[in-house]
Amino acid sequence: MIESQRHSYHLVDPSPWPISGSLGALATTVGGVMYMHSFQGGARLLSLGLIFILYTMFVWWRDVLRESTLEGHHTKVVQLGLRYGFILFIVSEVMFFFAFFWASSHSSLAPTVEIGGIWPPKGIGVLDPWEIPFLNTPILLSSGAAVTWAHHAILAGKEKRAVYALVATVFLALVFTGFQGMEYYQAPFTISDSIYGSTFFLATGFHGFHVIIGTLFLIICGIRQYLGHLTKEHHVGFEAAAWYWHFVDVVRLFPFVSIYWWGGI
Amino acid sequence: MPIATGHEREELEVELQGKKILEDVNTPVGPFGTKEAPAVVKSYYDKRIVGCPGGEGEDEHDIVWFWLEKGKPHECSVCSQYFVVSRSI
Repeated sequence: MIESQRHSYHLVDPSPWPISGSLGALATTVGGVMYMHSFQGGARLLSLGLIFILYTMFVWWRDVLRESTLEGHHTKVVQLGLRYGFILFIVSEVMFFFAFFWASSHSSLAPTVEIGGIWPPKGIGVLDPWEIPFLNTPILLSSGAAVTWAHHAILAGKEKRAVYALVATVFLALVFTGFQGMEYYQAPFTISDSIYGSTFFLATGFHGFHVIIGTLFLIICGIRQYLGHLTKEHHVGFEAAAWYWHFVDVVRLFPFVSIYWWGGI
Repeated sequence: MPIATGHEREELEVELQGKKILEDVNTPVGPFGTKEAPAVVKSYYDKRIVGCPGGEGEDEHDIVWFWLEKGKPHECSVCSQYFVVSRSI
């Protein structure tokens, strides 16, 4: 008998991270409400909660990497389960964004009298879609192309080249975020300027937040690629990051077309 | 051999030999079991769940699941295939 296990599934060890993450989420929610209502200690509780969540994310995913790379628990069937799980997560993310575009379309297709019966609302000066927004779209799409380059490098066993490709991917991602930050800084309206500002910053802001998450995910993949964790046979973490990145890429096209371009004329 | 350790490595090693890990336990195959020559199903324990798909071709039936215990041979209620469990792994 060569098997060290009687089945190919990964029965995880008891872990403190689910409860620590839950407590962090509770502190964040309560602290956030307290902070926004100017309660004493609100900011402190909010910060504590966020630190707790960030710490939990770090140690939990560190444990997952140990279980897969160092302990070999991620067999074929476990990898399949991880892929299914991640695909379902991305589907839920698609629905999350669908809600924002629904809100934006609902408000812009039949503008109410309160905003002058027109879109963009009366008195709102909008951004020119053919300046930074148009530049940023191909930057993010190029980043998506670069992550495909990294994928092919991994599949071909070109380990160094995969690191270079991931550096290029992350670089383009950072340029995108930089431009987006500049655009926010220079925007002639704020999130409290009518339904236009609300829907604009909700959709583009959550997209930007997802770009930052994806960038962190890709940076971790780059470090793991550099350390030799990813092989051409087994790189589920990278695959998940690439899927996530393509999702963020595709989602960018919707605000560009419907909010910046169509909603800006 | 790709870089791997633990159970993942064992799975890959068996695959390199053209087999699948735990194949005998997960998907047992063999001639139709009779009272004289029962179908022997391997297990790590004294009892396990087994599914009988019937015989070949025309004699196939919907899978019938049952508990197979040591010392208690089972006869399929549909096709009367005969099973015993063996803890010989």
